[in-house]
Amino acid sequence: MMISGGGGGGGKSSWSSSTSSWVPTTSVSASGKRIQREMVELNNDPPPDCSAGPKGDNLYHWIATIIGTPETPYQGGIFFLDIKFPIDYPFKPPEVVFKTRIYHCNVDPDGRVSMGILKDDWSPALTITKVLLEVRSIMTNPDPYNAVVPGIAHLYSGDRAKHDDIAAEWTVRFAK
Amino acid sequence: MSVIDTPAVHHRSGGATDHRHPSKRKFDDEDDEDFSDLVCVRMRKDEAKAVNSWSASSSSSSSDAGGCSSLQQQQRSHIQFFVRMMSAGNTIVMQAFPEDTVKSIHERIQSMKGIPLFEQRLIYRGKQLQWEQTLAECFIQNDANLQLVGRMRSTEHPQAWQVINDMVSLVYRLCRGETVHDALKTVKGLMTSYLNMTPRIDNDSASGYFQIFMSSSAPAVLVMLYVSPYAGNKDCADSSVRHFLSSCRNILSKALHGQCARVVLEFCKLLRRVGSHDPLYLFCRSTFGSLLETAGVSYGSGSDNVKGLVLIQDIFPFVCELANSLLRDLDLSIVSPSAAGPLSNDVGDFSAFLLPLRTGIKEQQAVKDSMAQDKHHKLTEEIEYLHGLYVQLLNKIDQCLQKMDQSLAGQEMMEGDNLYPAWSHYLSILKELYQISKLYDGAEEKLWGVLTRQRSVLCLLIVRYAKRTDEHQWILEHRYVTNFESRRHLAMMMFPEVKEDYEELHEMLIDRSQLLTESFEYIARAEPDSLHAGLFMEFKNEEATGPGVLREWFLLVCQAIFNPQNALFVACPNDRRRFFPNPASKVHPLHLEYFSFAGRVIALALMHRVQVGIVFDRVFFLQLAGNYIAIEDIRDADPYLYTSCKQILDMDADFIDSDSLGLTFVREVEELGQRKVVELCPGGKNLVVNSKNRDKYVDLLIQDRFVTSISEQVSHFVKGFADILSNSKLQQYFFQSLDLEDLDWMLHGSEDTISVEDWKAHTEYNGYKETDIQISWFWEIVGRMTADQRKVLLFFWTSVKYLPVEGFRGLASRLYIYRSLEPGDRLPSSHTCFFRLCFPAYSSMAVMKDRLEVITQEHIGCSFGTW
Repeated sequence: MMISGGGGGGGKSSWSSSTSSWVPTTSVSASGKRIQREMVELNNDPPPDCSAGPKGDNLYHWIATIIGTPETPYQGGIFFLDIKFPIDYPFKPPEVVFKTRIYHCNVDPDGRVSMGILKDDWSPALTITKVLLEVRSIMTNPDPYNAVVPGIAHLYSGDRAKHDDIAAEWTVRFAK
Repeated sequence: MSVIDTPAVHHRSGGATDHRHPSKRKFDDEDDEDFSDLVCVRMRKDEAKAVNSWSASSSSSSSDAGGCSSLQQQQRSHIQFFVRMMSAGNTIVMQAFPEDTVKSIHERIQSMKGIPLFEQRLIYRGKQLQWEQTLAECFIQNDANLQLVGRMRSTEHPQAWQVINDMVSLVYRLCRGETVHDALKTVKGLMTSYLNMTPRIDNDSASGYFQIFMSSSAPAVLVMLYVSPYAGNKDCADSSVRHFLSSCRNILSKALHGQCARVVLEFCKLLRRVGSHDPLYLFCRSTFGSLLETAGVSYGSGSDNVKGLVLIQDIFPFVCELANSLLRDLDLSIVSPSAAGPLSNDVGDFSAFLLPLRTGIKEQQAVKDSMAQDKHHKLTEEIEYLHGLYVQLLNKIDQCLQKMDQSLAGQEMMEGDNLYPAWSHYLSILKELYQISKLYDGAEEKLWGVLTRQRSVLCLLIVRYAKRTDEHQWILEHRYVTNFESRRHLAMMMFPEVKEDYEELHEMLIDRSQLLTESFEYIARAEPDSLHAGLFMEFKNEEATGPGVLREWFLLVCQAIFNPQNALFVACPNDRRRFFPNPASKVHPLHLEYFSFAGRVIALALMHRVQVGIVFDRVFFLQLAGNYIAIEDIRDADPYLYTSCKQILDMDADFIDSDSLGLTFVREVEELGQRKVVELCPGGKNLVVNSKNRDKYVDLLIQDRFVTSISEQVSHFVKGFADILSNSKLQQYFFQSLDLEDLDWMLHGSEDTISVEDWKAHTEYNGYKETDIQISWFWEIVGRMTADQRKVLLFFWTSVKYLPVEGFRGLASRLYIYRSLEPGDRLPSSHTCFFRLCFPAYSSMAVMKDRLEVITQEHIGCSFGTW
């Protein structure tokens, strides 16, 4: 098990409290070092309405929160996401799953997010910060042409008002 | 003429039986002597020329004529000659008639000097004179000087000398027309005695023995016997010479072949004068060629002759002779394709003689600058002449291939009836041309140019005529002249041939519920040799046996081996049929033994020509071929790693140098739930990836991920695979000779949907006629089946789940529909071993359709035999 900085869900991670701070750059692997660096970056310059950090003591399993953007059906909702890093990160993308149910054509019933940068368009240069920004972006602008839930996409294209009403209703029921 | 010392002569004449005064005799015969000298001088020159000629010529006959003339001339005149005694300084003068025998001279010496007859040897011009020869036959002239030596007790190999001399004496008697009882048996017996005396291990002693054979003129007298006009002599000589030649090749050890070769070369030179098509000459030449494989050959000056080696210059005439013979026969095969074409022996001999010649030329080219001008000049002639032969042969073979192409145009290429025997040696000749082409600049380009133009014909030659015993690696140096069929043929010849005889097959009795473990026991624990004949397969509690059951077993066991749940192999994410070894396979303690087992199973499936429906990923295939894995090769095995590595290599240098990626030269692996850090190079943990070292980093990462992590698995698979090949050393070459696509087709077979038309065209009927209504219904029903149903039906019928690339044509036999005598409510049945489907004459199409739909359900069609 990798030694990691402490941190709670939704809370900010405290670098100074790390139990391995005396040899931080040599005691972890490539991916571990990379993940720690991203954690520092995230804490220093968090994206708006987002936060993320390791869940418990497992550096490879994070929990993130995204606050619904104003002027969208998700406004005011607090959405929790699981982020799991593969062992060969950053060569493979992390797995991002909504733990809070959300009515969205690019999120499947199990909560898995379907985005280009989490599949074929992944690059090692991408970071969790960029991933969270992208997730927030599709909440503002769904991509019905690459939908994983065709029914929702159909409604989004055909009856936007009704789609937004349903999304808002789900937000009230699950995210508030 | 030298003046004789009168006192010495006078001193010896006291004991001589000759009453005539020597001085007086000399003066009286002055004119006759002069004439004889002139005749003899001309004879000697003719003889020398004939011996050195590369081919029979008229000089031989003129020499014979001269000999006859000389004999006639000398029959009426005495010969005076000198014999130098064993002790230094003593010489006696003797006179005799030309027709006197050597033995009579020995007898007179005995009476004059008291030396026992059997202890005397007369030497003239370096050769011992045989008792039965006449002075004329020995070419003894007036004033000739002979040397008398003793047959001393210390003479080397006295018994061998005695046997050879006895044989030579007997041959001389036969040549004079004497009738000898049981001559053939006696001569052969003496030859056998001599050969039995020859040491088989001690090279130096053997050298002495063969020197005796040469010094005694045994080859010359045997050839003399061969051309003798007297009845029975030719057969006697033929039999004796063949006996000697066969013993050289088969009985004497290879270490002695160099010594044998010198003797055989002598026979060749003598026999060539008889005729270049004489059967004994051809046999002799062939033997010489085969001895050269192990005999040492000298490429230097004549001084090396002391070592008893054959000279390159001695070999070259044979190369020319055979090349011209091949050219003639190739010409014939162009004009008349049904002619026999080049003889198998000629091609083999050509190859045998070319090998030392090519070696010699190569050696000379390597030391060309330091070679003396004289030697250089000598070998230069051979080099230039050989190039001329190469050009002629290449042009001729090009014409032959064009002729082949024309013959095949408009005909079904693979029809056996259209192939001619003349074509069968083209491939062997091309191989020799390839070897020659390596000696000359630009020659290889010409050869491959011809082969590129005649590619389709070359591939046909490979498929039809390439043999297991031949060596074909040269063809694959330029793979573009081959195609899938020819490459597959060459690869398949590395496997043993599957036997038909059930007695020799490796038997297996397998419980279906324990398929993988029991198969492992039968295959992995077997001696490799016991698998080379093929497999015989039975499932427990089932009646069925034979090739159909074996095909089913191959499918099932491969499914089990490559099942990801067994953790031996990993499927590619985007192509689940494509596999490579699982780095995590070590969860199973016997995993390496299972990889050997897997190697054997795959080799056996290929050997039995069973398509098993899986293919290898490129990273696995390339390692089996001993090749390097580059980034493009991992595209299917790990698309994410491939894409990420490409991006790392393409990233802006400043970005990667800023260490934004946070990468060092390490890789993280998970083993049994535990994360481990692997350094890609010493000190990798502290080595940051930057724009200068990223190429190396990507390379090391790929090697660790796809080579190092599975190297043990691959090496065990390789070992198992090699066990099944006829020659296990060819394992890497097996995979090098194929493309990945070739192997895909061999292992997986066709990926096309089954063609009903092709199926129908390869089906025959028994009890039904093609025009019967039931047959029409059958094909109509099959035509309407889904692709999956057709697959199940085919498997039910034949146990073939994946067709070869050629479709039904590639199967071992045609398919058959038999009329069953069972009632109409019965289901169809099959004999998969014989590709036989049986059904009764159903009363309606609806009934037939119903019955066929039952057997084409997956769980029934693929598990027959259990009820």
